[in-house]
Amino acid sequence: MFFNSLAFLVFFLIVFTIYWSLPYQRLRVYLLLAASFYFYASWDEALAMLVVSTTIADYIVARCMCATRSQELKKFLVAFSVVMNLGVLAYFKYRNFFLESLQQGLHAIGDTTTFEMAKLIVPFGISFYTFEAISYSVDVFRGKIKAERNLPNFMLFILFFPHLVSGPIVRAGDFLPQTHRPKRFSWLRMQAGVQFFLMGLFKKMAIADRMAVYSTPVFEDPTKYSTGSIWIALLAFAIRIYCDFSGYSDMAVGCAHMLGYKLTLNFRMPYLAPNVQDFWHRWHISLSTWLRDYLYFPLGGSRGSAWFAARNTMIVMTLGGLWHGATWSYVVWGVLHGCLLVGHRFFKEWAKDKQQLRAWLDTSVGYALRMALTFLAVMLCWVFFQPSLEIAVTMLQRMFVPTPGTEMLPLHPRSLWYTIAFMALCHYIGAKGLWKTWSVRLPAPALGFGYATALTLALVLAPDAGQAFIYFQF
Amino acid sequence: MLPPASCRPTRRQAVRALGFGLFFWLVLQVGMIVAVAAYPRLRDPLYGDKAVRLLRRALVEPRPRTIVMIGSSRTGFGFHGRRIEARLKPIRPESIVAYNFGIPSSGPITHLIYLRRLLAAGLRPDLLLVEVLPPMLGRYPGRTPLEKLWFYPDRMTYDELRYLESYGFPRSETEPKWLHSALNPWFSLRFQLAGRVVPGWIPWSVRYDWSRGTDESGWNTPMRTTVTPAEYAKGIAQAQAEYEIYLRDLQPAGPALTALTEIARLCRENAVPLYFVLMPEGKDFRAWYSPTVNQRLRFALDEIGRHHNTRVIDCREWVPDHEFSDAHHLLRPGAEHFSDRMTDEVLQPFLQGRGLQ
Repeated sequence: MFFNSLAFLVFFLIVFTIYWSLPYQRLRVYLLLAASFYFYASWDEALAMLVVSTTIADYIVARCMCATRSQELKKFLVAFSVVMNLGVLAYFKYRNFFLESLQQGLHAIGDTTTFEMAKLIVPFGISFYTFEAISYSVDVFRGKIKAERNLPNFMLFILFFPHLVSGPIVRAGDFLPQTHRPKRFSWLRMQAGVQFFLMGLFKKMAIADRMAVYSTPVFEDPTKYSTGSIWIALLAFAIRIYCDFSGYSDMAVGCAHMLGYKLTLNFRMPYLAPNVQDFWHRWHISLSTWLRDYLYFPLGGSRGSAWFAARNTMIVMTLGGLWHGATWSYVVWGVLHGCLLVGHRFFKEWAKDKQQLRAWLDTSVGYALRMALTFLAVMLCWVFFQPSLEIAVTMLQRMFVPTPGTEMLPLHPRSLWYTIAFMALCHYIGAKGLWKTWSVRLPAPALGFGYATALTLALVLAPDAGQAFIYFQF
Repeated sequence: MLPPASCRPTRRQAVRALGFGLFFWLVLQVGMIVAVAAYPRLRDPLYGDKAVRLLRRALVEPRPRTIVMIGSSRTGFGFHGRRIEARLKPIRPESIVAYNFGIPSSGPITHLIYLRRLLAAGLRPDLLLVEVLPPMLGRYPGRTPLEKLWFYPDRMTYDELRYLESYGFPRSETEPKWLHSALNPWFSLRFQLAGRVVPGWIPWSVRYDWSRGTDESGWNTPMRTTVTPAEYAKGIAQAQAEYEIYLRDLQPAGPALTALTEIARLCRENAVPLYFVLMPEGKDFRAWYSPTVNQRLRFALDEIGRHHNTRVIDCREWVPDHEFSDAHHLLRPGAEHFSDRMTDEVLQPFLQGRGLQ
């Protein structure tokens, strides 16, 4: 059940109506739990049971941690929770990858051992809820939050359907207090929720799915396409992945708002970032802050030499790449971003006492150049953001060595240029804060007409078959 | 006048904005539902665009003599109306309209619907040619009629949907799809709409602009005059995958044959002379019919002819192989070849009153 499907719309309307008709907060939590379970079970009932089981286990472990005074036992319990969660993740998502890699390594040194690969379905959103569960256990261990006493509330923290399968990765400290607060229907929140949902729906249906028409055939078989077509497809992919994922996040935030919950924002116009460090402050914020708080800082962060910080950055970004997908291509993607971050850090260090250069970089021309360079670097890295290393290499080869191709893209590039122009306009409006002003100052009929038009355009511009959200596979 | 910038969002404004949003959304939906009902061309541009052009040419005073050929994409590429008109001019000085009503992925049942629409619009052709696409005529387990594979309920009116029930399209299957498209027209008809307004924004395969890009006589001019042997082989392989299985043991029966019979009945009732046409096919394609299948086909069509005074024109061997793109779709020289022979051997004699002898 995807957010952009009719089935979800019906599901959400039913849940929404019953939710706000219920007189007690407790009942509402139960309703959301049941709805969330149904939402997940609509894909696979057995996997829904798996999520529920690990959630209950995490609840018990955290309660035990709170109950004991023994530091040793606490350490053991947090380690148990982390290992259990990562173990489930590794089994379902990384088992075949590790075995395959081991097998290839053994073959390379002449050993002919072969391992049997399991035919496993990777539970939807496992990477997301695993990180939520780990952060909860670690926060309880660190004493940052108290273990939740109420099991349904805790289960709702993990299973809440708007963020369950593709984030944002919520923190217990942000979410659990909301489950305790009595909810009152607010038209202002409702309006905010509708705005977020419509924005996300438009991004997904009118832009991301349309961009997929350009990028998918090229990413499937780049050998058929010319240099120009591959560049266009990569540009389309960069737009697609942003609109797909941020569109999902916006819809999740919107649904949560309509139900009286606030989720963290996941994107802040990342392609306007003037450097790659800033890009990661704007892209998938809930993941980057998670990696910072639960991996980078524990590794020592930047409290040491430049090389020590660089090492930590590389470790974090490599694992971040692996988090996205169980293939070497995603690992390379992570490594490349690590290199970009390290390179940027060294450049910043080098430019520290070069006043003239820094002044120039801060001019509007310098800023635009930095932004363009950052976008180009990030875009080139997207080549690796798909399962096959071979395809990535082929694409790069054909991009930088002029090559003729036989196949034409399925759509005329004109609609791509219009989309880019439209996105640039939206980014300008967003960056100048105009939308916030307009949403307050515009007369209600104009706003209403805007909502109706956005929804209609999202429907009209949706291409042939709706594409699944890219981040569902993670 | 905008309120001052310092003002904060209010509950009243939120309620009104959402209310207006819902109101405008409903207005847009209802507006489109009304527009689709008033202009069926929006719903079915494949039919509508060709029909508008045909009726504009045929329903004028003095009435021209009108020859219409209804068929599939084979007809669309093959029946070169303008060439036929030019060829007939020296023999028949009066105005003649030869119109190509070939629509891709259509068979006898769709052709029946289109004929009913054209008759309802007041058209009475002087001669109607209806293509018979043999694979469509069979009865196949779970796939009868074969047109189900390409049938789009959203292109039909509700009355047509009811009418089609007796042709193997149960309402339990077609009605939900039709209702979905009727109640959510912006989404369901998005390709029809976008294909008309911003065709470059959607892939060519879903543009619904087949009937818009034709010449004045409805001919879908083939883009190419030749194909390479490799392209031809690829085309044949695709045609084989699509049709051979149905031709091997074809037994004309079921809803598609009933539809052909109904076409013949309607024509007789409206005094429209009717010829069934078996379109040209390459040697490879013809090899998929066994002699028995050929006999069965001939028998079924003759049977309709006996009851309704129709004739069958078997053109399958009229065009050499190199004039096809894939052994059943004609290239430009093939279309010219076929149209010339059709004019000389069928249309001229008919117009000279020697047709239905």
